[in-house]
Amino acid sequence: MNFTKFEVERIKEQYAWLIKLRWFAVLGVVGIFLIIYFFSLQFPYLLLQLFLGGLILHNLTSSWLIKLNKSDDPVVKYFFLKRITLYQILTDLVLLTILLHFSGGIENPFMLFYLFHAALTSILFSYRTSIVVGTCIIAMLSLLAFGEYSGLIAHYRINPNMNYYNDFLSVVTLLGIFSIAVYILIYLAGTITNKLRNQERAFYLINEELTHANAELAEKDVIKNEYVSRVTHDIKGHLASIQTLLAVIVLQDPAKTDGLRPDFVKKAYNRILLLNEFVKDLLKLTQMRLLNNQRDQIFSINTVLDKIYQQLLPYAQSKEIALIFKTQIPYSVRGEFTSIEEAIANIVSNAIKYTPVKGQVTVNLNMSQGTHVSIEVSDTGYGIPEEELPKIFEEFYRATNTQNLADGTGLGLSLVKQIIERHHGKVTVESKIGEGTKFTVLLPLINPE
Amino acid sequence: MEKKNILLVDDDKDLVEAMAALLATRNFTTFSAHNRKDGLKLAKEKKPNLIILDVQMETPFSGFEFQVERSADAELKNIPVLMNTGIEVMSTNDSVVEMIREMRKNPDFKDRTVLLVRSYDGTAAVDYLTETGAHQFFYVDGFLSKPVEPDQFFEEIDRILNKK
Repeated sequence: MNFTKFEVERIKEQYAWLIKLRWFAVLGVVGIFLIIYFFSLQFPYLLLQLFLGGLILHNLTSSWLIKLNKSDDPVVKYFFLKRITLYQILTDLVLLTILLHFSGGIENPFMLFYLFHAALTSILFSYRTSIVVGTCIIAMLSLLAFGEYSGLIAHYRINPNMNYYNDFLSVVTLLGIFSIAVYILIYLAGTITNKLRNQERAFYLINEELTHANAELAEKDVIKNEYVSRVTHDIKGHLASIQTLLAVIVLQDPAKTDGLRPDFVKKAYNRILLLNEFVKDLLKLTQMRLLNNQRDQIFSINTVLDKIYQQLLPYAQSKEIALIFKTQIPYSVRGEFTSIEEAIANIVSNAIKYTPVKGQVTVNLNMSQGTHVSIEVSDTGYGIPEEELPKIFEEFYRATNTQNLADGTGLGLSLVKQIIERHHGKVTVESKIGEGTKFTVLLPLINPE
Repeated sequence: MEKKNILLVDDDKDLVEAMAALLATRNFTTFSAHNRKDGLKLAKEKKPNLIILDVQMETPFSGFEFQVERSADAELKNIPVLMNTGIEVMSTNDSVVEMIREMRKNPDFKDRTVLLVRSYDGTAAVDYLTETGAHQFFYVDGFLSKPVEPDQFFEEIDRILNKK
């Protein structure tokens, strides 16, 4: 499709080129006219003037024709341009034949000008069209020659010393040699043009490919840059807080004791913990992206869930949240135990974090379609706005209602997604504001036989 | 000497609290806001002598949006602003800004780096692309990159306040 657009541009250029060439032809005819006039040669001046007018009219019509196309479809445009180009060349041939007729027929060396049209056609069109046009040339010239020879049409002599039409054999020989010249020219010009055209096409396609690849790289570069600046922004944020909190204490007046802000020390310490967590998550994510070596073992998902339950129960109890695990039926999965544990623990601890006091967090373990185990983590928390759901697995994403830097690393869920996808699983989320959120983790089921 | 008021606009509450404590040791009175809207409201209410402004708050460029709105507001446009941010900027000069603006007319050029032109007197000009892809250009009285040494922090504040 794109290529047609390129072809349209090219044929448009060629069309304009033809028109330009014809203006030179007009100039040429004017020149001849002046020479004939200067040397007072015997010539039908009126006819030459008419021919000149015809040529100018033809060129103006051709310039105007191109405006007739209203379609934006490059394919329609392409064929329209091809047709009007062919029309231009055929009209040229008719005009040239008329000129020859009134200026001596095949006795006029201007006959050679047919060859320009043969060459032009094979540059602009396929072999087939060129051969048709070449045959048209030969047919027109033959009609002219035999017509004048047989006296069916008048013969206007320009050079009284020259008389080709005395001898039938001369006429046939001249036409024969001329025909061969036309076909050979079409073949030669066509071969070179085809070669060039193929090269041009290949070059265009390579160029397209490179442009595309370049754009893709640029896109990746932007994503990478954004990633790096998000990472540094978060790290700088923690550092700025820690530094300023501690500066208050370090720069205090030793005479005063109220500068010893224990709350600032605690805040700075908390920010160091967060920074630590952030860096750890970041390294894990990076490592997971860069490395492919993941320990491969078959283990019971129930064991993982039991461990998470033991680990997070105190946290849930501190918020008086009922932590319910319905995970009795045994299933096995394959992969890295600690990664899976980390991913699911991350989801469960998030659920506890974003559920108000006295709420409930439930973990359900089931089989899904006989091929996967599904681990559903649902809470009675604040919920996530619908428009934000597609973004929550993105790096650095923080829900709009919890945007403070101190609220988390913003990397947790993208780490979860990475881990689960590494294990050929899937993690999805549903949520309703004010009612709660449900995360579903699907992992391929292993039959422990 | 009269007590100077400083408005702190930053979404990092720990940092705001620490900056307030730090500024209190130098006898500044501070007010704080954690987003663009509250910041503008408080600025109108308190007419501070200086605003210390973060960039990335509720949106990646909240602070810039704050600054553009402030510059257009007759009541607020004379209050000096010190940017204090952790976002990545590219320090450059006017001709490079021109060049990059030209380059950004090409849709394939996707770089959205914030450009910063510092001048010798410590003021700076910021050029950034908004969410809608339009160029915004504005001046600030000072530009600090987090984390900032307390000495440099005070130096900048003194410089801006003494100039006015």
